[in-house]
Amino acid sequence: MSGGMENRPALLPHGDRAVDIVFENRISPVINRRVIALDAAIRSGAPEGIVNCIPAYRTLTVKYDPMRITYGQVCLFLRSILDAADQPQTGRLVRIPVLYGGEYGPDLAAVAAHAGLSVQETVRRHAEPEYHVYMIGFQPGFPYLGGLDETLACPRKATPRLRVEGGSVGIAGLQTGVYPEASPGGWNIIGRTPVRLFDPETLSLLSAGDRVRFVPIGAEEYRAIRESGVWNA
Amino acid sequence: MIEIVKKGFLTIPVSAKRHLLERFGVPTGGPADWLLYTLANRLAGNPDDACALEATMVLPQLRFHEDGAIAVAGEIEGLTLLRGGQAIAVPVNSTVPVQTGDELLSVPLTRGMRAYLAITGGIRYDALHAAGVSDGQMLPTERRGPVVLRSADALPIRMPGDEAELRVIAGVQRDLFSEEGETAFYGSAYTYTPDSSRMGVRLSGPAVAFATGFDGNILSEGMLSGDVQIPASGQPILMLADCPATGGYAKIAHVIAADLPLAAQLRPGARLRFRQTDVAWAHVALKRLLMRLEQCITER
Repeated sequence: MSGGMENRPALLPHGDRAVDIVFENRISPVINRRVIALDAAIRSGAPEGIVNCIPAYRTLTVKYDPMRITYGQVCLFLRSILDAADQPQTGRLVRIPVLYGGEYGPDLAAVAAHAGLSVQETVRRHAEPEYHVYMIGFQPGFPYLGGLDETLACPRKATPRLRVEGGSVGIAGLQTGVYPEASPGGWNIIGRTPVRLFDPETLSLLSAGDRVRFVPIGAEEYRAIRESGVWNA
Repeated sequence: MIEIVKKGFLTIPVSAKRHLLERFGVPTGGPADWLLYTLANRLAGNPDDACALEATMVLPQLRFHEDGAIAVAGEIEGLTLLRGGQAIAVPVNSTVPVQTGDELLSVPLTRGMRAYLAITGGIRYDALHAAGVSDGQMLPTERRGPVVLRSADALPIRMPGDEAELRVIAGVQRDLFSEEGETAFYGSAYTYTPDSSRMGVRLSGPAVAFATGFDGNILSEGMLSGDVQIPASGQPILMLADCPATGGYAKIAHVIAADLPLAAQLRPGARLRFRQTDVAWAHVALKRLLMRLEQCITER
């Protein structure tokens, strides 16, 4: 793909009620921060009729109401902010406590064996980086995280589990993430967080553009956070 | 208050109110067929985004615990209200005054997949807890204004039978399909399979082939109702109201807003075809449909 696209994203109609702003087709924090900057710019002031945005890895889906604004007006507005919204933003840092291994992380030993590392070193390397939240999707509050130490990359399980508990922290390929709710899943589960990633009252703990750091905790602390619901993120 | 006596097949409180939480992975939700949903609300004298019941295949049996009025939008024969042991035939697509203790009897839809029941004032709604109702459940309602009797002389669209043509705009990944794939998609009839829901309609027919070197997986991105995704099998999936906020399959096309009601009213076994249009025509079609909706309603 041409290098020019990185600087100048394309506008594509996504059906008759949305326009996609499309950047170069790859996973890159630099590109994703531009998506998030555009999202912020639109939220801070858009013409009447622009309804909502969905930020993703390298696209921003901008929904509009065709009865209140024309397609041409939407494109005109979006072109006018493409350059303006070039300021990369640094998102909030959110610390997520994780009880690694044991019954909450049944695949930790397998991930360590695959990496040729000790369990302790595997945990250390998982809790070391500051992860970038590319987007939230798949299920309410589910973060797509980037920044996993490549030595920890591990293929999906050959047979997916029928039930992965809510709060489970997993690795699949070069991705790491947290299941907000129980669901079937094929990720390698290495631990669990007592913190809720999505709550109908407080909504999503994370937003696209946030930074995440995993903090290893013990069983006692896990129980205390679980019961009190209090954790200083 | 409405009591669900028998829920029928699948009955869900739906609202077109926007929650704007797609960015947090929450599906948009709302009515599968926005047109009949809006018609029901207008006949009941409600705002266009009031919460109404979406009934699938069968209208539920309901008991009313307050005086008011309802409107059922859909194609249904033999709609009946039970009042003091007496069966009263009542019209569909009209405002029907109801009294405390009245029961609306369950009846299958004559045509189409979904019907909408609005009650004056609307049902109290919580987007994040919207789920199918169960037998015996009580649904609280909002305070209502005065009842005005209205009726629709005809539905704004004809209910589809076994065949339908849906107008689409080329999808955002249109370039990731081979010429043969595109020819198959636009030139064939696809069958609506029973493995379908409010999330999406799985179609079966000639496989839609990808361009060389592409397997159909894309980086996850925003997804909308109306999107037609092609997974690795090549069998299209048409997304409806409950589709996830993001998805990772290539989208070959997008059904226009004016034809989504048609898509939502098809039943398993129906054969559908796709015809390409553009954004400008899609908006003209939507405006015309909204005008027909407005014109079909008269005050009695």
